[in-house]
Amino acid sequence: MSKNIDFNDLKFYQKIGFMSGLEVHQQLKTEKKLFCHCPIEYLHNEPDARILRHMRPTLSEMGTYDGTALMEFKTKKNVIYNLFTKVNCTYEMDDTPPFLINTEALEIAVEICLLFNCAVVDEIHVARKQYLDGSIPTGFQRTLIIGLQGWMPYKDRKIRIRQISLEEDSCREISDIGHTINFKGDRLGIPLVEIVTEPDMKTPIEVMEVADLIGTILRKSGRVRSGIGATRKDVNVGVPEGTRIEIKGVSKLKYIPALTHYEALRQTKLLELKKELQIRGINKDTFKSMIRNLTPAMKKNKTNSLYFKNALKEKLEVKAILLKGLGGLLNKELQPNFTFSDEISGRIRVIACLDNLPNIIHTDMPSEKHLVPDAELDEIKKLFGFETPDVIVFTWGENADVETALNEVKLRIIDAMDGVPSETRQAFPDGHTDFERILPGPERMYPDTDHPAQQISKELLDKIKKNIKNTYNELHELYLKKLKVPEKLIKPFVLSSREPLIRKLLNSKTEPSLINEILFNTFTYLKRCRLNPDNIQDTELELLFESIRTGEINTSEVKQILKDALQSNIKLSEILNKLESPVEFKQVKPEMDKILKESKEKKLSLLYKLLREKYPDKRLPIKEINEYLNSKAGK
Amino acid sequence: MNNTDNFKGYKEDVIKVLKKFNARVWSDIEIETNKGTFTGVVLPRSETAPDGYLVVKLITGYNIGIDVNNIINMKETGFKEAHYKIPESEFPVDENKPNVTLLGTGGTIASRLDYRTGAVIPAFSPGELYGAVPELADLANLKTIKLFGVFSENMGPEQWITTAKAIGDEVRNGVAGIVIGHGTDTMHHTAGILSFMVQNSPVPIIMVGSQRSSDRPSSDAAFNLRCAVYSAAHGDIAEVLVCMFGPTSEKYNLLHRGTRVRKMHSSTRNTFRTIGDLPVAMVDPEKLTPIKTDYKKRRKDKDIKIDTEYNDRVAMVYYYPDMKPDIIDSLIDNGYKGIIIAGTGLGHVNKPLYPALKRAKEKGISVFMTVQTLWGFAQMYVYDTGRDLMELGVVPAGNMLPEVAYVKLGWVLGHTTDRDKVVEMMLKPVAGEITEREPENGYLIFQGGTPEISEFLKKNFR
Repeated sequence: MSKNIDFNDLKFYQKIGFMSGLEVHQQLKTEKKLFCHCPIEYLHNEPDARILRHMRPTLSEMGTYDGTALMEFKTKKNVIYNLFTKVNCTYEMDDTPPFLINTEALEIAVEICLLFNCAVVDEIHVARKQYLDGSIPTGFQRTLIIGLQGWMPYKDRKIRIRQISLEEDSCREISDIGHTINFKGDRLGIPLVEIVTEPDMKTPIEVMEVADLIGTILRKSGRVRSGIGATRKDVNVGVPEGTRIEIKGVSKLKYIPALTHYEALRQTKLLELKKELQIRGINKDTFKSMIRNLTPAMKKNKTNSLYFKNALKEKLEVKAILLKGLGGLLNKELQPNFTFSDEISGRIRVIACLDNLPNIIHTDMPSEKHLVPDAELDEIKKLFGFETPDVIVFTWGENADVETALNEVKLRIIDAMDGVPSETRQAFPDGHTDFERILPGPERMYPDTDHPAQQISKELLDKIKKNIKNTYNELHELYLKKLKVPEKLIKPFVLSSREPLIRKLLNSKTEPSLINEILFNTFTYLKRCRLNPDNIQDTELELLFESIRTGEINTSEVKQILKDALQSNIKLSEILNKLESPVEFKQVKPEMDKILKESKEKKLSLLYKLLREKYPDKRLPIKEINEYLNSKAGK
Repeated sequence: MNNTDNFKGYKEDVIKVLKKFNARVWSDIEIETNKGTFTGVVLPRSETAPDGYLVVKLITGYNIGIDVNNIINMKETGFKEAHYKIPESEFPVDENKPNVTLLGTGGTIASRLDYRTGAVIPAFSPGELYGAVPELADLANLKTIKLFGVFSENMGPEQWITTAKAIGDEVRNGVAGIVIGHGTDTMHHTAGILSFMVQNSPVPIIMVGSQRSSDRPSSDAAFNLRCAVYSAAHGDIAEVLVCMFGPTSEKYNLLHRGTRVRKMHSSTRNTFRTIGDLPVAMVDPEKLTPIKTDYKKRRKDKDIKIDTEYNDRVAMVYYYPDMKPDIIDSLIDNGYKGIIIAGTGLGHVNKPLYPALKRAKEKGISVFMTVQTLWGFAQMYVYDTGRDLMELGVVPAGNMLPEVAYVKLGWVLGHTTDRDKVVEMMLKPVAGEITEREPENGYLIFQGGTPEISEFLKKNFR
């Protein structure tokens, strides 16, 4: 759906007031979990044990209930944890208090704070961040701020870092059907840092690039985990008069531009809706709605509507709400193929646990979508005293869920009067998002009474500072300014495990493009041939580049030489050392002419291959050969 | 407002800085430091934490500690004292519902956070409970009496007696059942002594606590309370019972007989187990399912007997190899009237203790033997050591749990110090503290890792 949109059109995004920031979650490479001594491993076998829990909201220390907390309590979920003997202990079951914080994780987190130029806090306090969705068995995530007010270089400016915190990872969700949600306990408790930027990105492309850069800096530190789920990004998007919307679980960088663009769009559409409601004179005081239970009448008169018939068959309730004066508005498109009605449906799916879609139908839908026969619809309209432009929304399910659902319809309409409700939204690859939960506020934070405050000493800070070497930003600067490497090659070079070799080669004036050709393109080719060039030692490769530099071998021969070396298991140096006694050009020339005459293909590498076959262990007069070829080409 | 309230939990260094900049606890504050400028609220500090750091809650909700040496300037921009309070609304009364009285002793069953100590402190009233657990109103009309607010390790004879008397008063007032909120650490001691001090109760007396404090979403407090109130209001078992999680999963609670129950894990939810017998019943907030049949049934009368005589000159000695006789001697010299030994195996101690035990007998001190294995009987006639000890006046206390024997001996000695009478009373079961038999499924500590248990755990909620 994102074809033909320029996601880097600064003027356009300035006009709509696009604002976006990032929250990057990155697992740390530690031996053990953050608050217990369990090893870290993802498991794919059957779980060894299961426990069943329920969550209730509690108060924050400032004395108020958190909105999310209350909402999640409404859903009354059975939360099931699937646990593994190997990686779960009674701490993760919330049956044992936390152990003292993993110092390895703490030190890595401090290091990361320094990489992002943050002020490291003097004394850390473990906080509890409530999550009533069950993703953590305690009902809260233990989290602590390590760094504040940092920055990172981007283009010619600074992207500000609001904060970096150290947290325990949550469970992996397996399924969420109706009132039962299943989680897996292996990921639970893995240390991760959350890096929060200020909304300093000006276009969707910038958001993607900054996300990429954060990931690159982290990877270069060598202190973080890689693999699926090790880095997870949430993107915050807002427009003026809209609100900060958190898009959760963006799994790939390339999804970011469309997601942020369409979220900004959704907010502008919701603001239009707000205006429309104002024009119609609908506000919190004048808004009228009416709920009716249609079940008894439908049972008596035999409904002919497919959805209602099926609902009654399953002994479910059918109820409806009339929204006075809201006719037409539910069809308003907020994102391509995503209407306000879809938005309401998403919220009901989550909050009322009605997850069989469609979970609502309404009278503004075309009849082939709602499937209620005209006569029946008229009856219902009469029952409600329907007048244009009213709209009736129907839903069906267990009684309590239907009650919750209709109440949510009402609440969502009321929210629409304010514009954009604060919520977290789930990301889909095509760029659209759906309701996940109401955005939690600071009310959900309260101190963890199980931990004493912990001072970060100057000694520790100095020790960590001293050990930080070759950060991405430093090397980027070096490669760009001093070593004159083209921008697009810097990232692969700096992140390469052979970075020290690359730097050495660059310092001895090797062309960046040659390094790229051999260490990246040729290596990729070799790997495709099921060979393993990663086993070749740096010193051997250095020799290879040296041989190219001195003209002992030609660049176009490298592929074959490496292939021979890897296939025959002979050391590269042995092959190169064999090329001791040079063969003279006058000896080679007739051979060359013969090859050039016979072979239609003038490919340089083929020429060298054939020459090499003739002189397997001689040094070829590369310079003269090239000159001769050039002169021939010149004719 | 007085001075200490302004600086809750802070010490010299920080107070000096707070005063300098006219700031205090609960100030909205803008703090300029050499690491940056932060805005937030000044929070109280835990009294046990070191001096020198100011705790600030940032707008994001996170707390950080700021080294006061780094502070350049502070500006109070507002002030709002926080009141941590559970929303209180009046507990609804329904004439058709049974009346239950909740006696509060403290502990984490109903609690809130305390910022002075950083700890969880007890707090409750019917309104607060209704605010936190509104489902209680579906079960009963609730009245609460706060007897005291102590952590359970501070419970002792004085509190036991007060509790027993309060139970008597309430039962005579005609309540349908009693619930006692109690810290879990010594809940089994209190359950034991109440089983002796409160006799012939016509209604259920349910002790309840929580293993995860009620300030957290995963707390077991609400479910425990609902199960306890259900048992008290609608249950048919008129005994002193402990009502806590059966499995660690929130599926059902078990009702354990007060004299047979023990806390068996320092932190799990399902820490309470009936030892050497079966729990009396399973209960959830909607139904109670008896497991045993020999329980005392609910009656319509109010003929409760409260008997709170108690002698606190009793001690419990946990035997260990190479124990020296001076341990026993010091108890004798300090005027103790009764000693419970938790002996090894079937009820044994080493030979060097014999003279001290002989001396105890001569002084008229009652000495009883229980087993530190917890499960099983003191059977001192099996080995020579046991026979020797009985000769020295040590009386085997059957399968009475050590803690129960300890409180019972205090209660018995409150009635008589005549050694023969003491022995007679100790060995005559009042509330199931000694049973004639241990059923075949009375001892079940399954071992994890074995194939059959692994299989079982895969199929069932733990």
